[in-house]
Amino acid sequence: MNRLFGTHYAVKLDVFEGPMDLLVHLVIKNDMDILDIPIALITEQYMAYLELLQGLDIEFAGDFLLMASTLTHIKSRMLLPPAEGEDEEDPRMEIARPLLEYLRMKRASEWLGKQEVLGTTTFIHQEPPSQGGSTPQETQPRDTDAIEADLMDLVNAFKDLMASRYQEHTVDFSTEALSVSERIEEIADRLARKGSILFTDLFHPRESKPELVVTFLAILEMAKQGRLRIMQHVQSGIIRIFSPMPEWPAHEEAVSHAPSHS
Amino acid sequence: MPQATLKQIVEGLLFSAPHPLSVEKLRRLVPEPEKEKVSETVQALVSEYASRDGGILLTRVAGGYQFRTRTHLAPWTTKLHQTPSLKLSKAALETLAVIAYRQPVIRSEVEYLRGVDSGGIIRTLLDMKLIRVAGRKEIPGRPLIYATTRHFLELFGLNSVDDLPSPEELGALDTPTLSPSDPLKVREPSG
Repeated sequence: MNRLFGTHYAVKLDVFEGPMDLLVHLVIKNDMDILDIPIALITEQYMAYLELLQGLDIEFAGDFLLMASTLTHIKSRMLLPPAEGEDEEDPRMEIARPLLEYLRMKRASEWLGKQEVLGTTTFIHQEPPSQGGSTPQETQPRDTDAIEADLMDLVNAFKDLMASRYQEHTVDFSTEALSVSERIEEIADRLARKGSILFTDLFHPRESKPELVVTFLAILEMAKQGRLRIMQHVQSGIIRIFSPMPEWPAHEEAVSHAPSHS
Repeated sequence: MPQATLKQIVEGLLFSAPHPLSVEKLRRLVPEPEKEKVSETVQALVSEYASRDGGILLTRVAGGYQFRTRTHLAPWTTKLHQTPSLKLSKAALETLAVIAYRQPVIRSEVEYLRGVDSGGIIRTLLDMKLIRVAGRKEIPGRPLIYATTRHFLELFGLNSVDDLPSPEELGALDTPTLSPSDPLKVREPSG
């Protein structure tokens, strides 16, 4: 069977973004009414496609299998007589509804693809490269790039930090007086001077493990008391600690032209 | 020094701004007594540039106004601006469409609609600043909420997301266009 599908075929397979895309294709190809899909036929063709992928040793995502099971399930429910008295919905709606929704989005994405995109067919007056570096380049206000980090983000960051610094497990029995409250004052001091500090910079490279833990506890305690804000950069995942009063530079527009607005 | 007219001021501001300027923004920049006339001045400029039939138009975009070259000049303007054009894959456009129409939206909603894992594409769209994280949804797992950016509006020449045509207007329920090639030719049910 595989002999039928030459290599030229394999190249075309990526036409389908996912199971919905494939289903839409089958519906159109067979000129089916989405609200009245011959479920046996579409299931058969869908399965044939999956078989084909397997035959070609192409790995397909679990999403395709999930859809296969949905189709088979609908098909089996169609065989059952409707429950008496109850006005049961056509089982095929389970697939018809997402298909309609998907078609809407497909239309929308086609429309987006046809738009005259700035920088391709239309252009704007360009500013010369800024000399003083004072012109903000960001299209978005800064705070959209950072979000409040939650506890899990913080714990993960700490875990990574510990893992990168302590591969071997040594036990140190020397007693040291480590105080969380002293550490809090230290951090508060540094924050007051700098405004913001990278999470990783709060941990000194030569500090012992208990010291790192104390620092971490201090950060947690301060966050609880509202003495600092922990923000995470959306793209890079880098965590930065800020003093409680936000001192964002004014928005791009506000910097160059006018007083800030709400 | 010649006395600056409101029209001159508005035109100069619009010309020199790196991003579209809204009427509200312009109002804050012009001389106090002329504030109320900004809107009509902008409109006058829009029609002036339209009727002038020149190489640029004053376009309404992302909640403001911006001078843009006319699209039919692309064969020449693209020669000057040889920046790599925004090239979005089919999957990326689809994901962007879902986020644009359904925003604010979480990843699992995008994936439900598309029927396919979309994490990587969402990240790409974030990197391109077409979408942004608009917060976290207060449900278990506190998933991130996505929305489109102003940059998205500027790029696609939209005034606001309300300007997106409804899928019905686009003929969502008509017979969809078939993919250029028919990859499923091999397996007719009769076979």
